Amino acid sequence: MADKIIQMQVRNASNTAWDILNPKTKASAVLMNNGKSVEESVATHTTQNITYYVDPTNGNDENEGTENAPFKTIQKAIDSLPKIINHEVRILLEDGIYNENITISGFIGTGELYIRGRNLNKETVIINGKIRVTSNNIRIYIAFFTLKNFTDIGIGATSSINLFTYNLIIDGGMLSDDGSRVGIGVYHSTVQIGECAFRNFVTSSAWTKGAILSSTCGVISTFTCTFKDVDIAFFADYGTIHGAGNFSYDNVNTAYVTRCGGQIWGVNAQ
Amino acid sequence: MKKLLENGVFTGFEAEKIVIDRDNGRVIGYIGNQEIFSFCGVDFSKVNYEVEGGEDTPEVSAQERIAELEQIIADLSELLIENGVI
Repeated sequence: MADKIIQMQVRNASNTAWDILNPKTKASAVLMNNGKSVEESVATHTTQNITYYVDPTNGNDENEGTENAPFKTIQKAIDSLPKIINHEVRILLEDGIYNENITISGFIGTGELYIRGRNLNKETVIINGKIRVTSNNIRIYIAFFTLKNFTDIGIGATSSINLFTYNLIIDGGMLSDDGSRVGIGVYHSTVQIGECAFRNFVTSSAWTKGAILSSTCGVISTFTCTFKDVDIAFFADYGTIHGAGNFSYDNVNTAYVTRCGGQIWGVNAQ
Repeated sequence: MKKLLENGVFTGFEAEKIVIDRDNGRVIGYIGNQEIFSFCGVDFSKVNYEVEGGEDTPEVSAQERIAELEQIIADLSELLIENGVI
């Protein structure tokens, strides 16, 4: 496929002609794609359920994202979605290794977005990178994959409500004290974390750590997670964590820590 | 302010009073009487916490005080029965 030419133009004051983009004039800016406004070429909201397929081995981001013509990257599938989701959207990940950072941002509506391993096997879908979930108000489910080789925070949720993380393996990759690392960090967001396995979060870094971190105005509900080779499993730092069920600790220094008004309920000590 | 050290490294936690309660797997920091941080489920066989400035002794909890009082009453009752007082 030929490269697309992207142009930025604005309507003039009388709305009769186009001028070149003046960065100070935001309200009337229209993105042009091969002479066609993006408004016309990209849907702003869902009209039906959508399923996209992603395959890191056989996919191609120039494809349509169908089962027979999958995308190569998860980000391409996310970026192909309308921002208003009023239906069920599934992004199904074929087994394989994905080398990408992922951003899920700005989705609103009454629908749901699922991003999960297609074969429901968290061991066979590997994402080397981090996931950022910012400013969403739809229900987002991410499940059935392994997240590893990320820096600082594996899954970071900011200003998002209704993020659900299930059946994940989150590997901090730290078996020695070489910096700070968080598995799932929650800020100004509500997140549920269930049946996730956290591995290799060994650090004595002072300020940012904990396999699960609830920071400023973060609210986490969690159940049935396991922790192996972890310094601190749960850390409530200005945020809250509600636990249900018995958590399993294997070579964990400290089960949970509260600081700065952070609160934790229902989490068992070792 | 006292500083909490983990294996000799400053953890970032500091407080006027820091209690290391090895029997109950806890580390608690206070400013005045206000608890400002708390570690629970600490495995002291794996991690060594120290306090720069000297650690404080654990305060006896209300539950522990009640248990202690109940034991005293039980011992006293046994003594009174043994001596035919009651």
